[in-house]
Amino acid sequence: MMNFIEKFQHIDRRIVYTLCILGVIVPFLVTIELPIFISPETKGIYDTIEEVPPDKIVLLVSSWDAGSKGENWPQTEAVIEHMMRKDIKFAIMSHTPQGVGFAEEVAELVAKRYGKKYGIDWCNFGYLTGEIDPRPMIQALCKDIPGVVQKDIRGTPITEIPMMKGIKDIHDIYFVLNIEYYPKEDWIPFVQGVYGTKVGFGSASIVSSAMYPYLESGQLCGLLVGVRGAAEYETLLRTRGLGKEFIVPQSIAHLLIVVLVIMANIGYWASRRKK
Amino acid sequence: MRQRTIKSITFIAGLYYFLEFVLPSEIAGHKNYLSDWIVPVGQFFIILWAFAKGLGALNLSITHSRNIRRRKPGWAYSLVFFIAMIAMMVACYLNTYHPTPAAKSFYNLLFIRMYMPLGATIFSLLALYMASAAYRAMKVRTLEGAVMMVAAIIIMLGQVPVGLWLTASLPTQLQLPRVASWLLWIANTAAYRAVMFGIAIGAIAMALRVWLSLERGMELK
Repeated sequence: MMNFIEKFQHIDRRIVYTLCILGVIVPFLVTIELPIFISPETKGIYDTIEEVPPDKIVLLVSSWDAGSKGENWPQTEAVIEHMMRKDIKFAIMSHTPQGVGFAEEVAELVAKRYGKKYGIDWCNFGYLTGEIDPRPMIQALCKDIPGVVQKDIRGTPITEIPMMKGIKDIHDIYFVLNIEYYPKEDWIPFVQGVYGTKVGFGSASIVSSAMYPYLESGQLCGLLVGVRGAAEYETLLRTRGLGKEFIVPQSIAHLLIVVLVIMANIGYWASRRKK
Repeated sequence: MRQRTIKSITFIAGLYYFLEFVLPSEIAGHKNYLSDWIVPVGQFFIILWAFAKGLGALNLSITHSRNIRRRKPGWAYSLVFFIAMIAMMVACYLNTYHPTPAAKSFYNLLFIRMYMPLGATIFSLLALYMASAAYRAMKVRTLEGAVMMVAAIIIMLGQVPVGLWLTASLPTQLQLPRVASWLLWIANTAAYRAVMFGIAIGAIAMALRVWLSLERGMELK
């Protein structure tokens, strides 16, 4: 019996991989409903969007690409759905060239459901440099939006876009939401710290622990943590999107890893006891 | 002379951003004139960044062309680099300046059907490696290891709905999502802030060394 238990710590990695793959695939084939806990960090983003005044816009900094699409797409979709539902105007920009197209694709998709139009309900500033060091761009953007952006992704001068009439600087932006694998912390000192503009992040789960000090201090008004954040947001919106669809496979995968870790420890404990 | 010029520009640029940030927008009734220059200076840095990217591409091209010329081991990958870079440049140029259906299809083939699945595949593989690594590495050998494992299990289960489902019958404060939330908001924040303070002090020292050209390789000779 002890020999059998000892083997728990030496499961072949191909079996581990196969179990993980099955754990992720099966929930897509069988409908599993799980209760969703609404965390204060997700509620913070939801509440901030709820209170955007009609004369201000939201700046959606969407700098994610294919690598974190599984987590950042559902977040972006849920937030855009909320803004379109509430008739809140928003501008998209990206620190990476790849991010521009993804966010625009999500906006176009949601716009069809709500009959929204480009230029009137949202616009896309496109790629604004800053993958490594976005500070000069952020500082300049805060002072003069049309001067820095100049044209949108369709080549239209910013000043000629209907929804951008009267939008001059950071004081016309109520909320900056940066969604990407690891959001740029520079938005906190240079935007929230200097102008008091609300800043929120949407990040991958794995890096989210680094954002909590800013949440606790009130410098971040909210945080969407991976697929969980998207699923919680969809729960608040009373809708069902990719967040709720992806959170079940993720739950099974997490549960599987926990079970495997416990098994490995039982095996390890058995082998030490034998010695 | 060249070195002196580089160091002077470094110092003036650092001084400009430092003063613009710390000085109030109005000093004794006079406005802070440095703030008027923040947009053009910012745009200058954006242009400079574009040049840096071009320089990066040039540097990569030189390195890979050398690999091909000298038939170094793995030179075929250098060839792949050139094919990929030129194909993507042509596709982006055509898609932007001559957006015909053929140009769009070519761009979609490279970006949506090749680049995106490749990126997603790399990240997906990472998830499998992490699962296997967690299984192998997280063994309780010491008290600290036990604390770490318990915290990791609480966070892993508390971050997903299955944690709430497993502990739904427990009192509210003992349910896994709430315990995980406490760990992230309180314990994690305290530890992370300590780390951040250390990093910040190091970053200030490093920034001062670069700003004043005291960093190794930047000293005035």
